[in-house]
Amino acid sequence: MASKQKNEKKGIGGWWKGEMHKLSKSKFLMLLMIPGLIYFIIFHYIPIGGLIIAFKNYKPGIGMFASPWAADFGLRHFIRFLSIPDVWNYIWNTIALSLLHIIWLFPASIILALFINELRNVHFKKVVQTISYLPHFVSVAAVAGMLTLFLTSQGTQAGSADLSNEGLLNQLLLKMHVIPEGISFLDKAQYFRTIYIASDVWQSVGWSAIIYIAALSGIDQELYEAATIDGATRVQKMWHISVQLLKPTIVILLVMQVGKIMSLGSDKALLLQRPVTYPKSQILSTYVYNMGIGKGEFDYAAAVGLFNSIINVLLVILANFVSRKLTETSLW
Amino acid sequence: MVKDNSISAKVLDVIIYITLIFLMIVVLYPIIYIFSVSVSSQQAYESGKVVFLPVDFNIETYKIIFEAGTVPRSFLNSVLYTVVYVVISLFFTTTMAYPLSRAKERVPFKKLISTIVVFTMFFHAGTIPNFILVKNLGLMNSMWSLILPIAISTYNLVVMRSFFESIPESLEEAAFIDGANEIQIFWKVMLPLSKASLATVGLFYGVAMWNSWFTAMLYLQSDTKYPLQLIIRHIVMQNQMQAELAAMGDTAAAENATNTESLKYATLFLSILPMLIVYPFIQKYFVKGVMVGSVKG
Repeated sequence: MASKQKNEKKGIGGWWKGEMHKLSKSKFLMLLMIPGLIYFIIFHYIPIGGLIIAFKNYKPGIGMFASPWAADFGLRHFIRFLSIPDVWNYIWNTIALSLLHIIWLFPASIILALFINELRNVHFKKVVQTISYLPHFVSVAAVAGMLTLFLTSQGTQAGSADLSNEGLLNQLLLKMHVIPEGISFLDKAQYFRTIYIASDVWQSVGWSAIIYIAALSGIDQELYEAATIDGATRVQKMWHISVQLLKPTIVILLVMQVGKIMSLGSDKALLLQRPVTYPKSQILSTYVYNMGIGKGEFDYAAAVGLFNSIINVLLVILANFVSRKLTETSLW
Repeated sequence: MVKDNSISAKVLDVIIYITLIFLMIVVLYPIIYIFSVSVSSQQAYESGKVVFLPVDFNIETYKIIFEAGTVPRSFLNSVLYTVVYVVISLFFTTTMAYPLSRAKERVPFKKLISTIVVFTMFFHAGTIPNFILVKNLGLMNSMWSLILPIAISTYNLVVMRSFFESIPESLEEAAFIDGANEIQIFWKVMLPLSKASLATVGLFYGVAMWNSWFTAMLYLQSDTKYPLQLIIRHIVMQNQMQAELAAMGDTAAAENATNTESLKYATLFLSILPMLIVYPFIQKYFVKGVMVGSVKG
């Protein structure tokens, strides 16, 4: 104990000595961590070092270190990105999709959890839970495949007997004469967000409800009984007991979601976007892909990716700060 | 619970049941519909007769798919990648999670290493530097390009660490007193106690690999190596069925291109099917893992 206190006072040298002392006592624990450490260094920290190409004019032939620095003190690619006409559009598309995701999925999953919590029939409850979690296990590629098949159209007129070129939704709408001719929904920018968010809700509403269902099942049943004796109706109990006790969970999850508002991945958007829908479907991560992998402008795309990553880190730090202030819960 | 028989309570019940039944229909309908189209005749589909259940039931489409070979081959690729990935990622994850779960008095550089690990949760280099790295390592067009860059998911590492933390250190102390060394404790005490946790994290990894397509698109060039999800994207999304059919060669399907719609639906259904089959058995492990992750993450 005494030596440990001394070590803390000795600064770096003392710290090093203390750690080496632990190492001499448990070499096996260190040995176990070596494969993992090598993994993190190679596949996380070397790519972070590789971000240097964001400041270079990358020439694949001579490698990233030998490539010359970009103009404007290496910031050429950042300046170029911030001066393209669509930059705010792409940033807004990213934020809009994230916000819509939060606006729809949060209330939906909370309501679902409250409803499931009200069920008294154990079998029905189990069936509902099992079925509502299911879409979480369907791949994004399959979901995008379904959407493509269901929403496709070659513009067949209503009343036509041959509906072979129309997807499920168009077949139904044409048969009911809701639309005069088939609509190719995925080729229309104005439908992109609806399609993206609706399928998000389909895929995640059940899964996102799990955490609330768990929190609700931890509530002391006596609270409900006491409220019943005081004459509370079920709706009142849902609002005054269930919802109130969920509040801390909701606040934490909400703050963390807002912290991720700019870090929307490219997976699903890439599958659903078409060049004609770029005005709504091009988000930062798909732009990085389309410019970098699609057009081979590695240095420029890496700069856009770095710009995005830095904003993400700042937002997460901010979200964590807010969460700590509001709920005394934080990630670190 | 005291029963509430008021009218408002009954109305609430009706609303709840209708909403939940509606939800179940919305979840299941697309999946059932895909199956129905895949086993219905092309004429029934074209005239819009297939709405829910199969019309003119037949499994011709599946015969064509299995004869052509593209889908079964990519199916086997997916199985291979998933199995190898689960083994490798479990090895990397447990060996790192276990030391990080032990008291800091015992683990050299614990704080430094934890910081190195957690930092990667918040800051990613992004697609481009990873692409260049995989290229420079010579992993392009090999299955290792899909596996090694994601050998550890930091989230799963944190989940695994929490599992290990829930095993009390007193158990290890008892084993120490009995004369076991650290290797024996890890191998014969900790791992056997963590079977359920290993299953949970292994399933997280397995489902993630089975469902992934993006890295395969980035790194794999030969279509004989494509996993199933990427085939889905090619066949369904990009209307490449005709090309695929031509590539499949001398099957009846190449001439009879009118079958393309049901072929797409059948391929899509085959990609979801394995998950539908194993899902009921793995669901509980997932729910457990989500709980641990959300509390500790």
